[in-house]
Amino acid sequence: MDIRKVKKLIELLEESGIAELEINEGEESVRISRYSSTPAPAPVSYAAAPAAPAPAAPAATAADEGSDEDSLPSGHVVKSPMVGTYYSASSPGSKPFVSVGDSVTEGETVCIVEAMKILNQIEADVSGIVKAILVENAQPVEYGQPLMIIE
Amino acid sequence: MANELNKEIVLQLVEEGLFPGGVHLFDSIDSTNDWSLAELRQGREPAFVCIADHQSKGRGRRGRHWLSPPSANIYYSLAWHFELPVDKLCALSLVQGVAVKKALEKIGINNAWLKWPNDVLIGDKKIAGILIETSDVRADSCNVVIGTGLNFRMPDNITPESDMRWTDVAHSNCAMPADRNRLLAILLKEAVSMCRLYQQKAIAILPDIKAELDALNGREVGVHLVNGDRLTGTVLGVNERGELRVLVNGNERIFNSADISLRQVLC
Repeated sequence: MDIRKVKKLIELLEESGIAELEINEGEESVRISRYSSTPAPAPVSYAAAPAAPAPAAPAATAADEGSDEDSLPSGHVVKSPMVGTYYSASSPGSKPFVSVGDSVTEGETVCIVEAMKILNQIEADVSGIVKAILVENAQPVEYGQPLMIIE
Repeated sequence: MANELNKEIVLQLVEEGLFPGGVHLFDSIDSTNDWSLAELRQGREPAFVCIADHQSKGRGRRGRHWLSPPSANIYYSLAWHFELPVDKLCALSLVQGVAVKKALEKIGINNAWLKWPNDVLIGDKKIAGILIETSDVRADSCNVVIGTGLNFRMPDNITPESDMRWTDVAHSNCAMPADRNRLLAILLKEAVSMCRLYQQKAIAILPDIKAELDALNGREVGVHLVNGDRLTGTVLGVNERGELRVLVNGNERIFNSADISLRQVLC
């Protein structure tokens, strides 16, 4: 990600009332937090979610204001109810159920976790904005693994 | 063309009160699974069944199309409530595949077998497929929709879209006159009986169906992973969770979400 873009994002954050901002662009991801001293409660299985945050460009790391690597953005954590495979869309090539920044309502399908040919449509258990998606399409997930953050 | 589906005949053949949420028969519908999931969301109580003579958007796994021409085959979805956490349902696909195999045996088709996890084949040709979806997942319970497509009398002018070869009841060695309503009732009874047993035993049911689960043992198969990787290996069996154990390059690998192809042995 271009350093100017990151700078612009920081400015944007400062001008607004929001505490934290995360942008995913393909392989890259940057999270900018206003309050690095207030880490969110860290779900135990974060280590099992290697996709979050995606390997960031050096510029993005610099912009991350040193927030604790073991912390997730604050908000409601949607967890996997089972061991399986995470799917961001209903079928390959179709639009993902949700992307970071989308607003979701309680009960809305946000992803699918499949195992043993049983497809579990994972529903948002709260309404809010998708702040982070912690896994990648077709990635294996564990029981209880955080999938996304809604706030 | 297969005989006409008739709800009254099906109802007469299954035990009374089996489906408090009703048996719903449609001439044409987008997908019996989609209809059932929508009904569950709107509060219809399981158990209920959705049957269609034709599906305009019949679905297989991961958005694949399930060929569903009219007046030809059997397409239905059974909605069922389990007092089990969803992660304990991992063997349900296998068990429902066995239910279809047993139903076929009841009409005299004894050579069907289960290809992990839940395709039912005769020889190397697919006769039925199952797609299970969950709804209303809670800590200790969930609703499931078990969608089954069974090839009954596939029209001759239909060609398979995938590389999977298929067969149907009409081309099997079925000794009895083929009747869609009767087979449908038998399928429903077997599916329900397996759901009840699963509720009692959960994954401890697997030893009961060991013979069916061992059908692939020792076979050389292709394993197509969801990330696009393709491996070749020898099937060792299934583990206590129903996952497939495959010997790949001398190492045992466990799969819970993969497509198994038999093409390796056919080529």
